[in-house]
Amino acid sequence: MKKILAIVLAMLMVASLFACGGTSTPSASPSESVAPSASTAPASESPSAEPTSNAATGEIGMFDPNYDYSANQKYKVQYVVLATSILYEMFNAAFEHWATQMNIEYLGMQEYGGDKDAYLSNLPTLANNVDGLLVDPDSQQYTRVAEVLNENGTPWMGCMAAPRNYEDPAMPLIHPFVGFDNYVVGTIMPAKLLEFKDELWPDVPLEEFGFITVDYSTAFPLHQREQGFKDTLTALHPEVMENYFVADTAINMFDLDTSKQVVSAVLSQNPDIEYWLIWAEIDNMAQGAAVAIDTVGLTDNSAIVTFGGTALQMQWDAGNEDAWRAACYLPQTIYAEPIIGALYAFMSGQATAEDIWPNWVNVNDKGGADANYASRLLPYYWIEKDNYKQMIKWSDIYAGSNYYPDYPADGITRDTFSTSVPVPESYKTPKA
Amino acid sequence: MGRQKTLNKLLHSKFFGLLVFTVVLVLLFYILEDKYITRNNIRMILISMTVPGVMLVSVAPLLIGGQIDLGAGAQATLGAMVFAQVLKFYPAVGWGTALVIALAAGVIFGLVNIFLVNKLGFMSFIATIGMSSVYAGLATMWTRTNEVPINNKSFTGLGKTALFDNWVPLLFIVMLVLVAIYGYVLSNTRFGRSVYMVGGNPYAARLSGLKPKKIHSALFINSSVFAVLAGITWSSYNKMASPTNLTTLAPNFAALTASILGGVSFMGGSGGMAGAFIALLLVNVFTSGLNIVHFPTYINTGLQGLILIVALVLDSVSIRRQRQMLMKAAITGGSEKAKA
Repeated sequence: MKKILAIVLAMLMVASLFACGGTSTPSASPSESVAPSASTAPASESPSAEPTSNAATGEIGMFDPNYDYSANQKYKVQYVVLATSILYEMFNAAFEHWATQMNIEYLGMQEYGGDKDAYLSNLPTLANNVDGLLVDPDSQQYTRVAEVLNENGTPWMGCMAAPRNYEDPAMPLIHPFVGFDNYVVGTIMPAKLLEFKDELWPDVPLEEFGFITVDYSTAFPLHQREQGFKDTLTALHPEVMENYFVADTAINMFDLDTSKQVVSAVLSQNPDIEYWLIWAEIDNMAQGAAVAIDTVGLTDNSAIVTFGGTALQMQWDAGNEDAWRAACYLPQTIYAEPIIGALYAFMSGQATAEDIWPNWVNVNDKGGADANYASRLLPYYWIEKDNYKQMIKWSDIYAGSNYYPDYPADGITRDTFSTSVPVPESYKTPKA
Repeated sequence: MGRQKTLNKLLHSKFFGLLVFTVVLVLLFYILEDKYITRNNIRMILISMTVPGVMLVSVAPLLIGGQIDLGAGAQATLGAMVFAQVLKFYPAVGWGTALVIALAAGVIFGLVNIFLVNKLGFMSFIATIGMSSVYAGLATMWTRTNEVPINNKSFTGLGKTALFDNWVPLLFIVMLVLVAIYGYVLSNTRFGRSVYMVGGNPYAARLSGLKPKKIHSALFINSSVFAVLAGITWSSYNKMASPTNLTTLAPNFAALTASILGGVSFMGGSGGMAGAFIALLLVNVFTSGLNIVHFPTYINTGLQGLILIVALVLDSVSIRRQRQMLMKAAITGGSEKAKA
């Protein structure tokens, strides 16, 4: 039996030597048939979005339902992540959907179980087999990822974390970015928590509330959110700051159990505080905080909010409710659209990394004196128990997908919510 | 005289030493911070002990018997996923039936380990590490890393229920009963004595008529079934099954650390459930105390790793001392002295 197993193992090893497919030259040359038509109109009730191009050519880097993608070649694209989790799986599904809309051959998601060395060492091989890559490495690896792919001439777009040179104290952008300003994410949380306080406990003085940020301080993009929250809360209500605590999950991982542990420690240290307003940087942390609050019987006296919300949606679908009451949310299909749209623009020659979305170049954060990398911001919407199905169903209608067939679609159109936000004034104003 | 001997033995045992150390720590933390002994904090400590406590019942007997199952965390994950998926797709069956189905899956996990270790002759260390990745991968693939919320109120209510004026969680008491039962079985039954003999010296055990493979088979199945139960216990507290959280949390390693710290030899053949349980209590008292006295949390992780190293060093010293005593007894012929 052992001999048979040994032979099978040896045959597998031999087969793996031949597993690498043939190489193909990534085709980054522009196609002559490229002629994007008019872009889709933003929602009528959205804030005044600044147009990025005239109506005749449409918006580069966004999906255009009136454009004939089949007139171009079928580009091969793959999504490469360091380690998968629910968010990456949702991104994968979203990219797969948009790929079918854009005549892209989507090769799926490749992940490396957190092995950073394997991620980098396999990147050239993957790059040689595709026309474009969507990447989600450890943010500290972006410099090396950019070197490898740019040297190889492979168009690419980063996904969740901003592609920066994190070794440089200034952390300049090294590629265009689509996402959120993490500091701004933190600044919007206090208002929502205070809204819950006024709605649910109007007679309880604010001084009796405790405030917690569930943080992961060693990851700069996440930690920026805590800084935004603290600065805003200090400005709004400096008197409550003696009851402000940071539950830092950096002792282990930004997961449910660590969050539960650190939040429980704060609750144990402050048994006199009976009302809590908590915000967590990501879903897992919010779940852990909710369990910790539930354990001490303070669910009815607490509100937890987060930036994310996929797990909250699943919880509500299952009929579970606890202190986690709202999330600042954007459906993944909406998030993914400009990312894969930009990659398509690079692959088809409609734009380059240096000149895409010129209106979204932040003069204070464009990658250095000679660079002009865009930072395109995305909208976000608060979901609560009574409106989450509407918001999520809209993403199905907008993208033409059907991930939520059981959610009601009455009165929802493609323009019910907006996929764009105005370019901030600060983008054009150099800092002193 | 007999009672005196028993009392002497107790006072010199590792269990007593750990118990005293635990009490000293509790008093020390209380002096430093009187919020240490509050209902909320004590309840949190007991809750944090529950899942690794159930894991003790999985890990310790197998370790005493001379084997190890490093895949217990992944089995807990996959077993909990089985439980949650049964409830999700067949809510009418109730959580009792779902529990039986999940535990049956645990039996299958145990049978796989038996096949690899007993039949194919792989080292349990290697076989179970390999299977750990298989189970973790299956759990992740099944739901594409999605969690499975559990909405069965009577089941999730178990995790919320506490007795004695809300000081002691119900599931902690269940865990305590399980540990006590296994402690009794290991120290007072023929099967228990067989486990020690097989773990201490499998060759001598075989020569004396015992069947080590049969005993290991029972222990592997026990290990897997209780690993699944630990995963389901976690699900009761958190109202979900997660394909990743338990493999990250690794309660099996917490149970392993506690077992070794509590006197279970890594080489097998010695130790007991009482010592393992007290060691688990000690670790949780220590961790909770550091949190409540505002000890820098970054040092916590290092300290917990240090505890495992200390446990292994003490275990190694203990084994070496026992060997020296046995050799001395063999040389001088003083077997009574060696037993004392």
